[in-house]
Amino acid sequence: MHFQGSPNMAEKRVKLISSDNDEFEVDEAVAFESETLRNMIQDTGTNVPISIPNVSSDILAKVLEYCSYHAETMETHDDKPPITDAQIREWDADFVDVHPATLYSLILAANYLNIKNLLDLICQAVANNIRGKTAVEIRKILHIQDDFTYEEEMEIRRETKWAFD
Amino acid sequence: MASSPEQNESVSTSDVWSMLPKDIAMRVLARLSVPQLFRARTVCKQWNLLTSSPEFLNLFSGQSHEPYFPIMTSRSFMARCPDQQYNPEQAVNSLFNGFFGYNHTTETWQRLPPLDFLPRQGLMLVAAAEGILCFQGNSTLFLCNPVARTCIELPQFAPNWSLLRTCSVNILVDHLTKSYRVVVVGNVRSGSLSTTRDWSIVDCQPPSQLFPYLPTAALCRTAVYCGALTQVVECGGVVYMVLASGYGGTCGGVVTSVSILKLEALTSNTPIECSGVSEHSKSEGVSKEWTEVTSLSEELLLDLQKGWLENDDVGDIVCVRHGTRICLSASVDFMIEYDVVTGDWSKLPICYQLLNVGANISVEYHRFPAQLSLTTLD
Repeated sequence: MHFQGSPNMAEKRVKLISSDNDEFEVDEAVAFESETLRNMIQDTGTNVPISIPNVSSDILAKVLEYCSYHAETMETHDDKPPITDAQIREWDADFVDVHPATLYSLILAANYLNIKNLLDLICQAVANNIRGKTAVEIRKILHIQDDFTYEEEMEIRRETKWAFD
Repeated sequence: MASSPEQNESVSTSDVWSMLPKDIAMRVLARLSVPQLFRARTVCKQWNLLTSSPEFLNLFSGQSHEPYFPIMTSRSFMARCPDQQYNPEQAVNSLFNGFFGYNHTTETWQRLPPLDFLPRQGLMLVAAAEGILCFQGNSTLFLCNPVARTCIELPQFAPNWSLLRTCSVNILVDHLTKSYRVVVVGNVRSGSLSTTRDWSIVDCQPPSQLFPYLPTAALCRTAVYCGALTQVVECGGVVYMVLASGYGGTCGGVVTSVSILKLEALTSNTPIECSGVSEHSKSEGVSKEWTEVTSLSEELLLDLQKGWLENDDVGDIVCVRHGTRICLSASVDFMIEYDVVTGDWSKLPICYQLLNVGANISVEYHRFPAQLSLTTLD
């Protein structure tokens, strides 16, 4: 890990263009958190800016914030103590503590950019949101239309009655 | 209320979640527990359809789901008068009418699937793992998945074996091959049944110098310690023993102290599970003596004694271990947990559902955590 600070590594930067044409520049290691970007960079190199047509600036900024932090946690520094798992968990929890609409955009971006850890993190956050809620409450939180007839719903309930206690 | 900013915002973002791509919706739903999932199925037709697909079932079984612990079952006794003394004979004619488990994530008691589909009355719940429950009858064992309501009867043991009360039954799961083995530990030898459904006698020397208390056994993750006290739990290479002392019989007696003792580095090749404990054991070196880790505070001890005196349905103190936590229960209204990493005792809420299952019931505590699974048994 002695090469961490070497000029070659530090200078390798990647340019990303959001759907609303904002340009972002990040370390290659940060972009590599995304499997999609990693494949693109390996194909075309870092000289050409990569356009991400379905992710807006505010969401891309958020995604890159996540990638930077997680790329940083992988590095080891002699002068700084390593970031503990508990610290990472706390950071992650703060990261997903956003408005549901933002969370929804993030989930799509993480899926498109193929950032497995971020996708897992958000899926868990959404699952936590609907945990312990009734169907009516879940529909309200996620704005889902109830398309069951009363009889259909009762039929599903009947088979798993115990779970509705 | 109608014009709160929260409501305005939700109007503007409405419907986005219902347009969630199917594969992402499945990823989210696969993280729910089985009861939560069943509730989610009534949200909309798409969710109901998605969560019934084979693809989803695969995704669901690939996720790790927190087990329920402690778990309790209750039985009703048809002909038992309220003032009659407990009679084990009647257990033969008893029916399970309640099955509950504590969910540590939501910190609530959850009703678990009914056990009314069992082929026989009077069975005892003796082991659980990965959604499989094992019941013991007089001479046979039954494996069942209460969610799928499927049950299979295992073949009888070799002629000279009988399923005595002194046997301990354990289910060992191999996550790599997705197979399981049922291991029965007796006071002489152990029988093991693999998924090929043949019993075989396995050589299993009890570490008798450590556990002179034959013939019960304790299951610790992937190994069976035969001859161990049933009150022994293992965590990260350290074995913990819960010791309750007092006077009087099991009914109406008084417990005067509850302590947790530990024995470090019992097995050298045990995988380390919790770092806090492993570091501790390294610094102290290998010791072969039980040392006291903690004892119950005065306050909790008084609560325990109170529950013990007020309740006529109290048995032994049962302990269940999962992860870094050891849970002790003595009665429906007294359950406490000790975390071996943080060193904290905490009290669990009362399972009110169990208090309401009706008259003439007997509550049983079980020494293992239980999971629910959607995979059918074969």
